[in-house]
Amino acid sequence: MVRILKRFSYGEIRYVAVMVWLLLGSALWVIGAAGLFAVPDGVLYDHLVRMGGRPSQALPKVLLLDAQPESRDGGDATWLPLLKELQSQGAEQVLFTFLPAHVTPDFYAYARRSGNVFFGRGLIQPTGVSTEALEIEPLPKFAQENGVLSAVYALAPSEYGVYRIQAHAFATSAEPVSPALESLAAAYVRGGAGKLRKEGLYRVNFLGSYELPRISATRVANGELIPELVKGRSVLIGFSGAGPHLYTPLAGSGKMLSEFEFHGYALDTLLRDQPIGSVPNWVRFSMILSLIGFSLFILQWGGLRFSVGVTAILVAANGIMAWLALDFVRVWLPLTELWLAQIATFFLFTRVRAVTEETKLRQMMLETNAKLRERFFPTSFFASQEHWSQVITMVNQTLNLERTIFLERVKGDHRVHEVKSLNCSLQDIKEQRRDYERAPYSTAIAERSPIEVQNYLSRGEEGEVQYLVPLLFGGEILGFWAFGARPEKLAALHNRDVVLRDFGEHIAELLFHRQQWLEKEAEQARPLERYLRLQGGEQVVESLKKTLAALDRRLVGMDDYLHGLSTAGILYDLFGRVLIANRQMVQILTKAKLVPYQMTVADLVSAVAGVSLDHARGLIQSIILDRQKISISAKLPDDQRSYVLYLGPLLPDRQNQGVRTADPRPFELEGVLCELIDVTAIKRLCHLKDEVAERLVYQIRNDTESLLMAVSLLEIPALTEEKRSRTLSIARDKISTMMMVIEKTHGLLSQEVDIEIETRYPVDCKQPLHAAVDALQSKAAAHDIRFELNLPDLISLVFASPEGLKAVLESILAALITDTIQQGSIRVDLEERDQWIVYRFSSQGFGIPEERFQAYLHGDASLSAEEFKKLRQSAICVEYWGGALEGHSEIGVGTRFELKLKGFI
Amino acid sequence: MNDARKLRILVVDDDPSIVELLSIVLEMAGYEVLTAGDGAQAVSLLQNLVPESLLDVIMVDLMMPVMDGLRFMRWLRTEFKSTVPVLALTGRNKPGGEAMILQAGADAVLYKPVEPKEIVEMLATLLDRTGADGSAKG
Repeated sequence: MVRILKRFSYGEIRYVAVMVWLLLGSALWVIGAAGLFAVPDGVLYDHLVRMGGRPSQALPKVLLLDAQPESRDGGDATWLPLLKELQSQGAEQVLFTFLPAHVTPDFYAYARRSGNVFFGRGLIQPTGVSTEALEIEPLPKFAQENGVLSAVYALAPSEYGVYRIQAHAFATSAEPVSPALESLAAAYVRGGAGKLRKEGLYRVNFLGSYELPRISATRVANGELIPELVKGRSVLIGFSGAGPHLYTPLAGSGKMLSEFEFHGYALDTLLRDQPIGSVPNWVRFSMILSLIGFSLFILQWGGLRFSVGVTAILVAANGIMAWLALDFVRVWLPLTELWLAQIATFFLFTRVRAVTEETKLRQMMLETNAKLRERFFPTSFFASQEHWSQVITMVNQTLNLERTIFLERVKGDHRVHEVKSLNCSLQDIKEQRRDYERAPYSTAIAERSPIEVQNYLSRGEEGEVQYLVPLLFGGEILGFWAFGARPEKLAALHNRDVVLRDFGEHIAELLFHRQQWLEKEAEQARPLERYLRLQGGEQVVESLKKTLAALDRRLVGMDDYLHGLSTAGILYDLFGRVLIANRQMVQILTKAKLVPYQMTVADLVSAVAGVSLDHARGLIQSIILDRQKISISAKLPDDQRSYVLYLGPLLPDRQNQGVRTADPRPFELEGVLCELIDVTAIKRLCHLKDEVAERLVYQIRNDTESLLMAVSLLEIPALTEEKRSRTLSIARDKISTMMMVIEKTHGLLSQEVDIEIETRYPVDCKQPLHAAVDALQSKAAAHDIRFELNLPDLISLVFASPEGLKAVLESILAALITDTIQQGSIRVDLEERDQWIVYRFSSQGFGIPEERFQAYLHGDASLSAEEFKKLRQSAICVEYWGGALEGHSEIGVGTRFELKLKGFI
Repeated sequence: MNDARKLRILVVDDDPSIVELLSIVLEMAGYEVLTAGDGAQAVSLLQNLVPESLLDVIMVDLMMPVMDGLRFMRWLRTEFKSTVPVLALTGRNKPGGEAMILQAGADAVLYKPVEPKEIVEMLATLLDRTGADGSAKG
């Protein structure tokens, strides 16, 4: 079955549910029909019978008259008065379960005349005949002559030792159909011999474990017969003390019945016409099929917990239904088959699902592995040793190791195998130290972290330190990394254990992919082996765990990469909802009081680019439908920076997936990508050149003025020769100066400028100062310190870095804030003198000894204060720009700084 | 104009060639020329060397080291309380720049490059407009 189900799971048979339904239903029906469920079914039946209510007609129709076995030989003296007494008390019928001995013809004549007296005759094995056929006990001569009513007094076969059923008739050697005593008596009550059923079995009704009334023959003889007990009842006379007691449904409640009592219940069942019936076979089959079909339908709706719950409910419902049917309709339903059908359906369904899931998981795992491998590592990585050489060389060089070896665990071998080694080999590890089930491997596995080992690699240099690092991936040890290094080099490695563990993780991941690849290669090389191996679920799970670990590493890497991007990005789905936003984007939008996850793409475009919502929708439409890429200038509220908003479709990498599509389709899109590109620096750079160009124009205008004046003067005839000569000289000098300025400015304008701190370019000297003051305003306010800026309106540019000058000014101001007294002020004077721009910073502060201050500012004294670290960096920076940063400090007076930078036109 | 003496002009500019050429031009136009290399020198000159009452007009460049023309004009008007007409001469022609120059204390602005003739004419106009003569005072 499981084999068939496995085939189902692979999708080879389309209608698995129909197959399960028919196969399971038929199997249960056939097994049930063959009687193989008789025992459990009987047990359930007995149990429910005992739990059942009393019969609908509360009063039994049978009175058991219990005689002593020896009274059988009592003759007329015993039986005739008894019979007469019973008749006189209005007994409906009198049934002798035996033929009384020593009675006279008068007895039988009286019995015959009464017309309601029946005699039971046992079945006996004929003497001297070797046959299984039984003979009915012969009637005495007088009885035969009087034509008394008699029938077979016997039991139907038990069901595995339990008597639940009785026969309407028995077959004997003389007659094929001899009615049973109970059936004959019941037929007479219903109207005569014509109503006699001559075949079949019926279940004796013990429902409610009720008791039949009984009285002893002795009490009747003593005149203690209660008339109400007899009247209208069939009195069954027999011997409860004779013969073995029988197991019946009532045995479960500790009540064993004699054969006589069993017949009493059988007679009562027929007289009340309440035998327990059974369902026909076709109904049974229909019920089983319906139940399986219903279960299969319901079970598909939920998971395992739901299936268990539904199954439990249906099992209980079946039990209740069977009990109700038995109690009220007196029909026994095939409860065993129903329960088995229910439980088997659950298990089969769960199994099919488990097999399917396992197959899908395995498939998914293999595909994921393959994808990861193809995406991140070329096949040659695993196939050749070249890439491993690169890895081992990189590890060796980065960590400054002397020698390194990568070892891996191979299935079916307890010894480690070499993957790659550098400056050593597997031969350097002693044979007895290659067993990874022993130390030092077992220690490293137990520690799950790098351990120091002694003389692990032989031929080591004096004092070499050796380490063994377990290569853990997905919680499993895939191999080991051993290395030797000089102690001083290893000591220089900060956070050694963490670094080694990180490297170990990366190497383990590579090893995992290599092992996966090797496994796949081996499978392809020996396809038969696949079928000879038993691959349990555990292996699948382990493999999946490792694949997921690999995937997780990639995802974490991708996540870090995404959030580490300096460009702010946000990805929307086709419906304009946010899929992912990187940290930069969230920060920028949050600063602008926009909530990225509560905005659609149209909202974002509208808010950031300052266009109407309709316009924004139009732009999105063109991206989705026409695959347009759009860049718009963007400005955010409360943000001084300048941005360009790039909007474009995010399309799947069709080339890599080998898919070709002719026309663009909207749902082919994976989303709309929005990037906010910070162009502040670019703008600033453009502005820098603009400013230089503007200054050039100003300078040329200035110089042209000289030339113009010179020309005007030279045109004046009255100009003295001396002045003429001087004017000409000035004009020549001016032309020469102009040419120099033009050439220098041209050089600057054609220079590739960036905002790096090392850059040296003419920049505005006031704007960085204002920016630095703005940046430190809150810090100064916290110390109750104010800034006093004494700046000229017009001043030349200075040679510095666009970003660096602000940082330098900030470092100086920050140092002064630390030194200045509370409620004091920091004064900044800016002046241009002799082509130098000079910033002077002063404040009334605490000050430090001048010698120490100079050591901090320009010396190599180790620094702990962040302010001085920055100042020292600033001094270096200023020097690079061709300027100078000087400072002086005096205790009780404060600190002063002078920053000199070269001016430019 | 006072016949007793020439009109006295203070030329403030950091470019020595312009100062020299302007001096020739203005002397030929009948001015007595005083010069200063920047705003600070002009301040010093006005405070110490020259009786301010004998100064008829000031011609000032804007872009200068130590003390620029704007600062100088502000000092002249606010601290020195002088009403001497000031002609600003500048190469910077930025939007809104003229208003700022006039606000700082200039009475007229000329943008470089400018013909010497225009300068002389502008000075004459300025002196006529302000009614300045040889005894013009602050």
